[in-house]
Amino acid sequence: MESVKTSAAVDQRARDLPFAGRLDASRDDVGTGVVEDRAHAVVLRLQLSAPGDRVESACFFAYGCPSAIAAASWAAEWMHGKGLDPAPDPEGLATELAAALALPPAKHYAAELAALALLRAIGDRRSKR
Amino acid sequence: MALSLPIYLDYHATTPVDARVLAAMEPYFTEKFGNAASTSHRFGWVAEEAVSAAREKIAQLIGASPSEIVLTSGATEANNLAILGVAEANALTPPERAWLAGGGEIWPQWEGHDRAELLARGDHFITVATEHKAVLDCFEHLRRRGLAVTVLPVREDGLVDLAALEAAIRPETVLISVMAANNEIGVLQPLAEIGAIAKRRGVLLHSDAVQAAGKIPLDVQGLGLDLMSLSAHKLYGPKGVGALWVRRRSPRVALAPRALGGGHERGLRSGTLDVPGIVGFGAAAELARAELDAEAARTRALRDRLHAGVLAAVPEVILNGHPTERLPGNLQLSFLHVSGEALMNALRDLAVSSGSACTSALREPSHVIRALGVGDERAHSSIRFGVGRFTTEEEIDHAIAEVADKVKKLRDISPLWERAQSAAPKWKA
Repeated sequence: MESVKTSAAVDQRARDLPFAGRLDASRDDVGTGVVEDRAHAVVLRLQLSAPGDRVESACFFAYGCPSAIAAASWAAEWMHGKGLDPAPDPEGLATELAAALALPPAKHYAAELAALALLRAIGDRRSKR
Repeated sequence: MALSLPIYLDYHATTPVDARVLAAMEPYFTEKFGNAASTSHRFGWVAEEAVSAAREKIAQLIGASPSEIVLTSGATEANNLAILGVAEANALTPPERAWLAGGGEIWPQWEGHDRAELLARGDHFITVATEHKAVLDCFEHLRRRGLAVTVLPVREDGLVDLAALEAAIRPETVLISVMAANNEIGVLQPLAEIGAIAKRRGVLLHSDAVQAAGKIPLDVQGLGLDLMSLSAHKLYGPKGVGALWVRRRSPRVALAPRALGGGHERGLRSGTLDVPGIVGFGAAAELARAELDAEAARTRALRDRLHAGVLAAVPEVILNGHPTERLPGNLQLSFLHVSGEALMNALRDLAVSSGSACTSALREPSHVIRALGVGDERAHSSIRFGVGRFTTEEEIDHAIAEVADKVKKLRDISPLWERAQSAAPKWKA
C-alpha cells in the first residue's frame, strides 16, 4: 500500500529510538501521560521525572507509525531540563514538533498526540505535589 | 559472497526483468524497430512476426489459443476491458432498459440485435471483496451507472465461500470476477469449482490472474474461464504490457472495446503495439512455463524457510490467509503489538510492504486484510514478504535475523506489548 513519505529526521528517530524507556509510574516524582488514538492506530506514553520543579529525565513508549514514534522521542528529549510551570502551550508545542521533524500535514496528528501525552505527564506529576 | 542490500522481498509488487528477457527485447528497440501494423515493408513484417510469436508463448502459458489473446498496456487495462467491455456488450443499464421497453429506437451501438434479445440482457455482476482495486473500481463504476453489483465477503482464510457464490447468482447475472491468486495474502481461489458453477448457471467468468500466471499452472479451458487478465512485470517481464484472454468459442464472448482508433487487436484494443514489451512478455511467459515447477518448488522452500525461521525467533506472529492454498512465494504475517509501518521502516535492509498505510487523514488497513475480518491491531501489524526467482537462502537467513531484531526493538518500546505481557489493567487515554 502507498504510505506518506517520512523525513530523514523521522526515519532516524524511529530507527534509533533515542529516549525510549520506562520510569516507575508509582513514584511521587514521576508523571505519566498516555494517549490512545484508534483512528491512527497510535498509543503513546510519555513519562518524566521531576524531583523538584524541573524535569531531570523523560522517556517514551510508543506504538504507531514512524512519525508517531519519532514525535514521542522528540517530545521526551524536548522536556529534559524544562520546568513544570508553566505547562507548554499544546498547539505551539505540536507546531514546533511538526516543524522539527518535517512532518507532512497528513502526519501532524503525531505531533498533536505527543504534545497531549506530554501535557498529561506534566499534569500527572503536578497532581502528586 | 557479500549480500547486496537492501534485499528485495517484494516480488508481488513487481519483478526485475530477467536478463534473458531483456536480451530478447533489445533488438526490437534498435535494428528491428518497426511498427507491427506497417504491413507494406519488411520492418513491419519483422515486428509483426515477433508479436505473433510472443502472442503464442503467452497463450501457451495459460492453455489458450493465440487468436484469443488481446495485448494491452497492463493488467489494469485488461481488467477494465474485461469488466467494462463485457458490461457494455452484454448488460443493460436501467435507463437503457427503460428506453427499449418504452419502444425507443435501437441505437447504433446495438446494431445487429433485436429488441427482445436486448431486453433479455442481464444487469447483475458478482465479485469478491479481496479483489485488486483495478477490478473493484471497475465494478464500482458499473454500480454508479445503475447496474447491480454483489461483492462477496471472504472467509477468515481469504477464500470465497462457494455456497455463498452460488446463492448470489441470479437469472440476470452477467459476469463473475474472481482473482486466481491474491496479491496481498497470496491465497489461491478455487477457480475450477467456481468455473463449474458459472458454466452450470450460464454466467461468464473472468479472473485477474496477474499474480498466479507463471507461479502456478493455469489452464483456461480446464478452469472453465471466459476471460483472464495477465501482466508481464509480475513474471520477470517489462512493465507497461499485459494481456486479456477472451474466449472465442463455446461461448464467443462479446466484448466492447475501450480504446478506439485503428482497430488493432481485432478491434478490441486500438493503439500501436509495444513490440519490445510484447516480445519481452512472450519471452517471460516462455521461461515461466518452462521453469514453473522447479521455480515453484524453490520459492516455496525459501518462503517456508523464512516462515519457520521467523516463527522460531519471534513470538506472537500470525499468518494471514489460508496456510496451504497460497502462492509459493507469498508470506503475509502480523507481528502483534508492533505497527507494520514502523517495522517496515525499521527493516532498512529489506524491501517489503505493509498491510496498512496512512493514505490521507486516517490510518487504514488494506481492504484485503480488512475483508478477512481480523481486528484492527492485527491488520495494522501486517507485513507482506514476496519471495522470487532471484531470492537466495542467504538473503532469507539475513531477513529472519533482521525481522527478529527489529520486532524485538519495537516491542521493547510498545505499550501494547507491555500490556499484553503483564496482568496490569489497560492504559486509558
